Amino acid sequence: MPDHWSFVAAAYGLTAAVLLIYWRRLATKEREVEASKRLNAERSREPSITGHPRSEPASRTPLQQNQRPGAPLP
Amino acid sequence: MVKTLGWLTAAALAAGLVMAFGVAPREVTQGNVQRIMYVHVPLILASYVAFVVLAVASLVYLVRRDPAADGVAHASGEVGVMFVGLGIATGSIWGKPTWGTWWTWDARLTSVAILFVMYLGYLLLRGTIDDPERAARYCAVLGIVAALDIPLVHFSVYWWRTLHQPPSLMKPGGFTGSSSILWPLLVNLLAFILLYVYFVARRARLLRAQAEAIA
Amino acid sequence: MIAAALVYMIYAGVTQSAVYFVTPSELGSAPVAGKAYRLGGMVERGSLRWEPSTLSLTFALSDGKASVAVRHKGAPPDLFGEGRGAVVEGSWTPEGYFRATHIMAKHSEEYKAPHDTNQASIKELMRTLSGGSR
Repeated sequence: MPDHWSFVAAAYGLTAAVLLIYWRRLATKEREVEASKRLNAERSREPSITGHPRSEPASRTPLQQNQRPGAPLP
Repeated sequence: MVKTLGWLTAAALAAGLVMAFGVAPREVTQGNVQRIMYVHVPLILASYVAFVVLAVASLVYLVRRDPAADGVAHASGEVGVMFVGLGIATGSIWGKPTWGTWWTWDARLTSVAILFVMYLGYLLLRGTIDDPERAARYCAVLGIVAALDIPLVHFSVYWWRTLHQPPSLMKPGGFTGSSSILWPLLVNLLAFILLYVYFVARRARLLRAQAEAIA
Repeated sequence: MIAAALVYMIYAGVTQSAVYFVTPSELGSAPVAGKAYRLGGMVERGSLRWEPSTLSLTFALSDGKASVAVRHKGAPPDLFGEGRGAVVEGSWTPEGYFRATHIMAKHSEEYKAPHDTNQASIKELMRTLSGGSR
């Protein structure tokens, strides 16, 4: 009875390759979601275009007067 | 938690490989090609586990409308399809040198092909429905119905004439071969079930994060 | 509705392959020449003849009650042998033998280490061949 090692290698190799690809893909997707979450978080801190109208300079508190739009809060 | 499970799984898979190639003997009638069994059988049995979990999670979803249950079902479907697909592929690779054919339409191979196609359809159905609530509901129904094929796959070798031999492990009276073949098989089965749990835990977590990112 | 259709599809698909092969007794009782069959049985001891120069293989398939003479051109799979199960595809000839176009070996689900083989595995294989006769 010949051993057919090439068939054994093919079965284990194919399985290892597919499992590894799936594992790597999970990691990639996780990083992508992390990145988009960070981006969303940053965006939500910026004043939105459709949101409240900007107040007139005269009515601003000293804190608001020092702050440029889009800059992080102190 | 998931990380620990990952390391545990990696260790179990490594132990399984050592058992399959270092501990298990060269089988008497088939020779070394029989070592394909240590990956083929655990893949198929772990896919049964995946599809049973999928069906139970689907039922839980239909009763409680809990998105977490839907996530587990979805993740199990993905991992199960991958496992059963690999199980079919490794079986085919094993069949060529031993049976003398890559494929034949006996009841076992036909029913397992149906299993693969049904769960592939399950994953496609998720992709085609935009409304996540409706997708989850339809998939839950399909996930419960599709599970009916599992006993058909398993018992096909008893109910009908097949080329495929009856089960070696999951049979009445238990395993009757050599214990030096049984242990490597059991270690690999444990490793692949762990791998299933690990993949599902990570995939379900990712699905949750993706849903949050969109919301 | 969809569920019922699915269940029907599964059932139809599997029953299609339910009579995967005929036994030598079934073929012997009403053989139709030229019709394609899949025939399953045990390779009878002492019946196997293999000529490497002409690639001609002859043997008899039996189910314990009837026996059918099979001829084939080409080497059989590794696990093919006397006293073992086999499934052959081909047709019945008017000359009274089965001309096989494809030979498949059926093997036991018992896997053995070199030092603890026993004859029980052959009995087991006999059982798996006769089992599932529906």
